[in-house]
Amino acid sequence: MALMILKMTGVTALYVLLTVALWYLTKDKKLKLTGKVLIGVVFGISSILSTHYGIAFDNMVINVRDIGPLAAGLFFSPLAGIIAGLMGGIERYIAGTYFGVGSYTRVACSVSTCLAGFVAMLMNRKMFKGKKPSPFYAFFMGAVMEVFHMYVVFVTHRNDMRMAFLVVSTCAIPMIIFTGLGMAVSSGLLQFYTGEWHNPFRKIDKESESLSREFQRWLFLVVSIVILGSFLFSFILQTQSADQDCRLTLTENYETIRRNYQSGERALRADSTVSYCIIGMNRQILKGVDGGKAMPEDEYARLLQNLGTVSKEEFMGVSSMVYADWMDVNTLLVTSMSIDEVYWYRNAQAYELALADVLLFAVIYVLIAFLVNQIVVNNIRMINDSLGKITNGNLNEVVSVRSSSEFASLSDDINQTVVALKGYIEAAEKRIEQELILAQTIQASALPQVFKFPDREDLELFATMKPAKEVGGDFYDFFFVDRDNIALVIADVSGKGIPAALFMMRSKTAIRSFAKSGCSPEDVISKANEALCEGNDAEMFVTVWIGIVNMVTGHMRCANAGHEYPVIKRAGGDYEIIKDVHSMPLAAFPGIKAAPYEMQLHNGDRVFVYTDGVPEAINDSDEQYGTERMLDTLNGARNKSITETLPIISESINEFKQNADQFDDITMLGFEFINPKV
Amino acid sequence: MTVNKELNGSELVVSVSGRIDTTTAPTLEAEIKGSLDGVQKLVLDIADVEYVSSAGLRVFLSTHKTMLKQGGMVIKNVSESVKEIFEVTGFSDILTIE
Repeated sequence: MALMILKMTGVTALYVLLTVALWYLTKDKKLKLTGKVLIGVVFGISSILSTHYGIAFDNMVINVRDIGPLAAGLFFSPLAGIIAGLMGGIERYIAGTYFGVGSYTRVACSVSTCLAGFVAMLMNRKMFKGKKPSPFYAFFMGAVMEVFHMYVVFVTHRNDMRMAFLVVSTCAIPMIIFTGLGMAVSSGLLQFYTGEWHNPFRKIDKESESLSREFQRWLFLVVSIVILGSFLFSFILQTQSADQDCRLTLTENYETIRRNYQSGERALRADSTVSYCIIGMNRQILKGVDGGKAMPEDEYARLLQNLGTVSKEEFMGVSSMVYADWMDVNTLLVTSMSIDEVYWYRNAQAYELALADVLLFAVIYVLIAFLVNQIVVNNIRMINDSLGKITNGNLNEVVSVRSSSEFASLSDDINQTVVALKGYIEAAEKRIEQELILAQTIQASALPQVFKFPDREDLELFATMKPAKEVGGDFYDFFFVDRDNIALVIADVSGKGIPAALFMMRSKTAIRSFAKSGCSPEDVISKANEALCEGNDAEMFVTVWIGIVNMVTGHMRCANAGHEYPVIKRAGGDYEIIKDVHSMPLAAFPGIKAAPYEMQLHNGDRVFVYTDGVPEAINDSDEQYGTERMLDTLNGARNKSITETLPIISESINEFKQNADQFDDITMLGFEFINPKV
Repeated sequence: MTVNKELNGSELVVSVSGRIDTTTAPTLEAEIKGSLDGVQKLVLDIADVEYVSSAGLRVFLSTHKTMLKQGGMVIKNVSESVKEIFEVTGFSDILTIE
């Protein structure tokens, strides 16, 4: 027994070693077809070897052949499992039929080994989805495979139950345990190496426990109880029926022998399963088992105590059911049946039933666990996926899991919630949009819209502002600071949207009020800078170009605080960029000193200023409109009036940017000095 | 736009590539502002930046102001087109450009 355990441990350990070693060799590789076939062949050979190097135990030969296909199929690839199973199984049949190796169980062995590969494939694909099973499930699989093996031994030897029973009762327990252990240890080691290992006995809090696990645990418990109950019930029934049969056989044999003996028959005969003896005076055995000897005293005394009833006692040193009674005053007839004999059929039945129950249990367990996964867990996962999409902002996602009333109503509830949510969001968007439209109106009306001065013929002026969002940070402005001097302003606040628009209003007011108080452009810049630096927590800034033109002399004083270069067109000439002197934008740093410059305008000279939205407009391929293109367009329209020129630029930008979004505000201001004296 | 940050002791190197415009500037600002604690020297490597809009300039300006209190900020590998933007806007006067 101890030797058998040692040897089986050794063989199983070899299997584990082979599995881990093969896994280690292939762990970084994606298995190709040849690799899979090769692994299948290696495990097939290991199966064959374990057939031929089986371990002798109680006149039987036991082995762990089925680990091969199971390990190949579960830990490597389904194909490898099938190859290993077919190799091990077919070879086992040939060895059994033609070479006399364990021919009694050849069918059972080869069928179960072949099947092991397919079972491993199914479990790998459907239950574990390619992951390694936990040691618990691996043990379960190995053990159930062997249970099937044993069961097939019974099924294929229906006419020869005694031998089948002997084989199964000797082989079943070691083979089941060692196959199971081999699988469990292999899977444990592999999980440990891959870092998938976690202690199966660790307490898991409810939140991280998966539904299917919880369900499987309860299923395991309930099915075990039901099957154990049915087993016990039939075991008790079988025991009673065996007792009954035994009682009947013993009394019938007693009666037959007594009748024959008393009628003087010399050749007394009992059933093959029953032994008898006739005891005379002084415990002398006259006939039957151990004829001629004396009955041991203690056995004889017990016989006398239980006369006329079937009782269990020691009879000739063998534990037996015994019936004894006086045939006449001097002779005692004893019929007996050994306990092994009484219960062998019950035991065989019990084994068969137990094996069948375990198989039934396994099938029910796997099927229900699989169905729960399919019906409940997969549906929940689908709903979760949809919810994930909705959370990520796709409010058009519709949950449509309608495989049961519960899921249908859950889907409907989620969909209704999403629709309601969408309604709220739309309402909020609409409100914001209305407010933005209002803000746009206010901003637009803050910019001067009338470009004609009724009593003046000495200038032409036009300006446009097209914000990228509803409201923008660009602005233009023009106003007479006194009777002769007109101020032209163009500016660009950093950023866009509401913050830029608010800062733009502040800037515009500051610049206009300082300019109207008679300041020079450089003073407007530095004073407005001081004003805007105060309370500028958002750290915004604004680039400004300001020019003040004396309409009598055509003398223009300018200052540029970080704004785009202005464009000048002399009468009869081309539009040209003037690289003027710059200072920092307003509100960036306190204490900016602007660098003023001056210019003389003559009759027909034009000034064109713009914000970076013009040269930096981009098209679909991220190209910029650029100042070159702007100048070309301007020069192409040099004979048009300034009022006509600005829309031409807008049109040209629109054509250029194609489908690309306008991403910055586009603002332009054009001015032509006309000397009425000329 | 992509932003890579590398901290060596008290020197933070931020490498930026792509366009720094209205849509990307808030990301850049959050990335930089979130990692300025204890930084004494900030290096902005903008070798792969082809365009800086006014929103991007705002980020440079406010970062520059923050770094004035903590140590200093240097902008490295400025491309020609971005250098022009800095010059036109007067930013080249206040920013340290290498």
